[in-house]
Formats: sequence, C-alpha cells, structure tokens
Amino acid sequence: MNKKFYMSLIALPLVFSVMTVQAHSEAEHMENAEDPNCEAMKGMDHSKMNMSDPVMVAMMEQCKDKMNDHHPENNKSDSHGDEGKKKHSDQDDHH
Amino acid sequence: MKFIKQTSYFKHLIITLVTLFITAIAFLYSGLYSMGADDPHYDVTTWALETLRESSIARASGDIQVPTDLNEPKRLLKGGADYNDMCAGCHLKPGTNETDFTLGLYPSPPALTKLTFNMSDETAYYQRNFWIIKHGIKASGMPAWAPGHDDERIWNMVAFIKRLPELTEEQYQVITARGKSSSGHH
Ligand code: HEC
Repeated sequence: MNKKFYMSLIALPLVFSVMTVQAHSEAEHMENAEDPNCEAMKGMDHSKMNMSDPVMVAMMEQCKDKMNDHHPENNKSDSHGDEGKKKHSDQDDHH
Repeated sequence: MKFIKQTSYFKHLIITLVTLFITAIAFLYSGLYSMGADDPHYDVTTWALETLRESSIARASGDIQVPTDLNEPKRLLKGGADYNDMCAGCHLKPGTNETDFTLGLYPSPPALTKLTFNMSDETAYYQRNFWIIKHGIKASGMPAWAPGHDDERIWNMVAFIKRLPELTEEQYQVITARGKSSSGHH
C-alpha cells in the first residue's frame, strides 16, 4: 500500500483515456473515419421532418453532397446498388 | 472545582481524538480496506461522495459563461464526431447498452444516451456538463479533456450531449460520421 498502489490509481485512468483518445487533433481522427450513411436518411418520412430542428439541419448538411449525386430520376437505372438503397426503393413502391 | 472538571474534560477529548487519529492511520497501513472496483461503497459513502461531487461542481461551474449559439447545427456535427471518437466507449451510443467500461468502471459511467435533460435550470445544466468534460472527475474514470481540447470543442460536445438521448441509431451515425470523402467539416 504503497507507492505501487497509488501509481496504479493514477495510471489506470490514464491508460484508458490514452486508449480511447490516441489522437487529440480532429485531423488525426480522420484515419478511421466513416462515411455518413445517408441512404438511411432517404428512407425517412420527409413530411415528418422538422426542417428547423438543428439535428435535422445537421443531418442535411452531412448528406448534401450525397443527395446531389443521386438524381431521383436515375434511381432505377444507376448502379449505386447498396443495401440502404434497396430499403429505400422498397418503401418507394408503397407510394 | 469547576476548573479541574474542565481540564479533565479536555484531557479526555484530546485522548479520544488522538486515539481516533492513530486508528485511522493504522487502518490506512493495515491493508484491510478493499480497493477493488468490483466492491461497491457503503450507501453512506456513496452519498457522501456524490454530495461532495455535486456541491463542488456547482460551486466551481457557477460563473461559466454559456455560449448563446449551442443550438447551431455545426456544433452538433463537430461535437458528435468528437463524442463518437472519445466518449462513446464509456458513455454509449444509440443501440448499445453496455461496454467493458460501463461494466467494469466504478463509479460506472452514466449512459449519456439515456440521461435526458431534467434540471429546471438549463444554464446550470450546461455549466455542469462543460465543467465535468473540461476538468474530469477525480478518482473516477472520467478524464479531464482540457489538455489538447479547447473550450469550443468542449462546448460542441456539451451541445451534442443535450440532443443525444433523442437520436436514433441512424441519426447518430449520420451526425457523428467524419466522412472520409466529405469536405464538410474538419
Ligand atoms: C474511461 C471512461 C470515460 C471516458 C472515455 C469518458 N468518460 Fe465521462 N464519465 C466517466 C465516468 C466514470 C463518469 C462518472 C463519474 C462519477 O460518477 O463520479 C463520467 C461522467 C461524465 C459526465 C457527467 C454525467 C452526469 O450527469 O453525471 C459527463 C457529462 C461526461 N462524463 C462526459 C464525457 C464526455 C463528453 C467524454 C468524451 C470527451 C467522456 N465523458 C469520456 C467515464 C468516462
């Protein structure tokens, strides 16, 4: 009881935080960056969205590039086939 | 007569205090205390520690100036990405109910996905979260994030945490993704 014990009291949280942080700067986080899954957004019911809600605006911001890539009229013919898309067109059929 | 009584009273008091002090020191060296994180405190100890924590934070955070633009979508995006990288392992994200950290740490990190805003004073709520993130909480797993992260980044996370409990898994993913290719935010 002793130095060793107090050291571990200090060292453990340090180890944890280093493990979870590793990089401090935002740029360094980019290495294992994920792309936003914007397909999920397309499946949402737009009439229920509140466009002035910051959460909604933030999501639109994240997906604006993606949204522009996919022209709705090309939906059936283009080859961007991924799972999110399939979900989306299923829902389209009910309209 | 009265004088004699008083001196013996003080003598007893001092002997008692010295004995208590020596016992306390002896206890520290005895190794009898169980230090394991898997051995919870007595209720009274938990109460004492939580009261100490809350009074201390309330006092220390009372003068913090809260930015007026915490509702900015940009803050949610920056704070969300940082939260996902640095905090979700301990404080969870929508769709996860436990991690090794929530199971093993004592005190256990609260699930910020479930901790809805329930303080009557919104300013105090913001001040408290900002202070906790910036300074951490002593003798718990909660690190101080001030080293390496400026106040703005911390406010972004404060803003994000406020909305976190309402987010679905999909919303969380879109908001927190840094996006390899997107030129959006850095
Ligand atoms: C290693 C695990 C760990 C990490 C990583 C971590 N925390 Fe914590 N956090 C904790 C623990 C444990 C507590 C509870 C401490 C207590 O009860 O005294 C806590 C408490 C908090 C609280 C107070 C919750 C409340 O209302 O009581 C906030 C807010 C918080 N953390 C935010 C964050 C943020 C933001 C990050 C990321 C920048 C983060 N934490 C990273 C472990 C962690």
